[in-house]
Amino acid sequence: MLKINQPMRVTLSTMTLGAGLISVVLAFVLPTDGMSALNLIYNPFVCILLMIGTAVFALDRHIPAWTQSLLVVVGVAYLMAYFVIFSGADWSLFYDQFLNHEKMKGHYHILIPPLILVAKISIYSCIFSTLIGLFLAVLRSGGNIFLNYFITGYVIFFRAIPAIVLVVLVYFALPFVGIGLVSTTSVIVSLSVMFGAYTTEVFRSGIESVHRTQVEASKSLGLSSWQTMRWIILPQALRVVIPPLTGVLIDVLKTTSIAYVVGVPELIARARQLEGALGTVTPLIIVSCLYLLIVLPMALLSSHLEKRSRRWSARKAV
Amino acid sequence: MQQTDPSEPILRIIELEKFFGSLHVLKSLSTTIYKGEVVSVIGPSGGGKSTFIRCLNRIEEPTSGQIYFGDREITDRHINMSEIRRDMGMVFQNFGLFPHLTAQENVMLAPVKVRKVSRREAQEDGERLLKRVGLEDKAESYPDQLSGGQQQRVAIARALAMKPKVLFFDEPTSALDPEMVREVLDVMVGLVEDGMTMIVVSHEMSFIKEASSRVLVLVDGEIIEDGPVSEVMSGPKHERTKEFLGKLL
Amino acid sequence: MSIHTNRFTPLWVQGLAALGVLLIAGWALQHYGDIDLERIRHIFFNMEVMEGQWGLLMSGLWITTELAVVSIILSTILGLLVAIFRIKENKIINVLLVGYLEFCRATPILVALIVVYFGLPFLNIRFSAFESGVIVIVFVHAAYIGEAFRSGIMAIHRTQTEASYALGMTPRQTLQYILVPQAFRMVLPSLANQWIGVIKDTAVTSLLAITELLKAAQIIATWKANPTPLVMSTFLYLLILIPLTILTMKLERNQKLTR
Repeated sequence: MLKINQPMRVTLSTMTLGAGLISVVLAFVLPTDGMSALNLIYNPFVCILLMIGTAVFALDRHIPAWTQSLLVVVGVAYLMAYFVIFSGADWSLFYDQFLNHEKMKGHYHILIPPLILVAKISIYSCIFSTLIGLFLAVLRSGGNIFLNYFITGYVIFFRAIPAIVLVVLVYFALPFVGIGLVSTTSVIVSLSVMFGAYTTEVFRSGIESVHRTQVEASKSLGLSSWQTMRWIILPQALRVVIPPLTGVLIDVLKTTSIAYVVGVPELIARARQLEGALGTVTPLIIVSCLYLLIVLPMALLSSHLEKRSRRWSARKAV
Repeated sequence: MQQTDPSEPILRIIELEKFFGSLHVLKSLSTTIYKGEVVSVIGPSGGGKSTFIRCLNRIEEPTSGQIYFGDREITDRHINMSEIRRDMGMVFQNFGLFPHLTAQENVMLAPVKVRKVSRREAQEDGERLLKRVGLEDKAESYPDQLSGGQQQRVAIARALAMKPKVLFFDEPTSALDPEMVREVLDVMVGLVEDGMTMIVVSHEMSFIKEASSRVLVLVDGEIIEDGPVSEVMSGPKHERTKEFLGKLL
Repeated sequence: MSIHTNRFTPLWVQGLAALGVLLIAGWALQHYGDIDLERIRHIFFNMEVMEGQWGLLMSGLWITTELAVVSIILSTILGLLVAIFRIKENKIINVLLVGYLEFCRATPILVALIVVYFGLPFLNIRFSAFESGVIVIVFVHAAYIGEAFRSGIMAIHRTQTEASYALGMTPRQTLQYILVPQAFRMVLPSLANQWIGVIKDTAVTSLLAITELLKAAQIIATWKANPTPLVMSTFLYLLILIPLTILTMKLERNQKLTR
């Protein structure tokens, strides 16, 4: 990619214009109830400063890379300093509230059962949704028009519905028809069915990615439909499928946090209990770090796989 | 043949060096291009021809050396290349047309946005230029509806719309099917006859022999031959040139 | 799209499978629940319960719309900015942005919302429910949108950038007239996907003290001890989201075909 060695024009001018625009929009749109930290942006002084910045750097001047970085860092630091000083935030409370080790001592282990529960929910949901997806994708490839409409309808429905709405429905509404599910189970069921729609799409694109000629070739070699699927199509489809699949599974992991809404005794719930008992928000922060620690490596693995798969499929003459 | 004006150098290249990492692609090149010249740059692949021409408008950044365009040093760190490039035109091997704009819009875009020409004027100029390259009926077509030769001719019209003082051609016909090479070369010859200063990297012998006034032979990053076409073609000084020409012919 | 209508599973097997599924569903409903149309209507579509409550539901819908529109606009702008900064390949800026991106992609929206709305007040930073929702949703989705724009811009052939510079256009002009218009077209399916994600995530803000659609429905449902409001709100969500999802899927197909 050609180095755009040009002044902050697009960078700063867009940034400052954008920030100015955003602050104007926010000023009109957001309800300002009580003390809001966003007041800092409403401050006309900051607005004007930002717009002057735009004007100055809207000229096409050559600014070397080190100046660019410096300007960006200074700009960001200025905004952060403004935020820190004028937002009314009491930063002395930071350690006490956010990273309080003394209060947490001896209580860390309380977070373990919920963690295991979250893991359990995630694993079950992942397995079921993958199975559903595989099953439906293979069915879909059969070509039965009615079945396909049904499956497509299923996919559209569950891609459209918000996860939290589905979970709430399953947990609160189903008991009225006599299907009373425990909160955990209702979460697993809703997540599996919902993400089954996504995995169906993933597997479907995987199956379709295998060129038709291969199917015809294997048929003419005498392989049955099932053998074709098992030995020719699925192995190749798998290569195409793994990166997006890991993406979906990571989504499953993240969405398990929704379980909090229906009262599953999971991480967030336990963290808030601790918060009440210990008088500090540290548990919540720990929980968010936990999620980060688990999801981040998986996300990195997923992008790594994405790059590798591009190399594999790059050989295709498509 | 060309009327060159030896008193008006358009480009002065002084000890141009280019490294790609540790690869020494251009080795201390020095030469001068005069107004009205049609310079063909030839040589084996990897010899640095494309890199050389791309350094002239700093699409490729020279590692060291100086280039003077007219009387301005364009290798100066503080210079605004966008301004300088207005007076230079470049035609690329893979055309580089903007696919989301029609042929006419492709031609009009830069004059309107860069030279601040009025839309009406740019439109008239655009129509005139498209007519000149023989594509007035394709004004409303998008690049993906045009053949390679047509696309390249639009690219030439687009470069001309900025009224450049010099035109660079980076292997303009190398990506074309043989039938279309002729139509593009005809346009280029027309430009020669109008007195445009041109630097052409190419393998097309017909153009080199018939239309250009001067030949630069670039091998392994060095200019080993530099002189009028007739001289170089009939009696090259270096073994390497003979070898290369032999393969080409 | 009918590349694979070669039958792997012969029709009779498919027919049996469909029949089997229907039978199992029927048995499950029979065994675990009571199928009775009138009863179903009374439970899930009870209009008497909804009487006089539509106002609350509609105001919830309005707040959801506000949240969604503001978040979509802001996240798209922010995403574009992020992409433009990333393209400059300035090492420091790049590292900062990648850090931000990975952080946002790894954090569940619910967790982020709770930290911002319930956690920050402990530091005396109070954002209103609306602001918290907008901030979290915008930052998370801007990360994805930024990546989409960036891959779109970088996918544009280098020669176009060079040709644009060769014509004397400045990098800003190149971005504005050449790169972004094309990238936008390429990136539209991903963008649409993200926008749908924004709309869906507004439902998560029901945890905060803001009465958007889901919360309004929950309030009525708990009060009247009847799930009809939830069903109604689901309909409303689907009314907006299903057409959008279908549109997005069409865009995705279109893209795949024109490669």
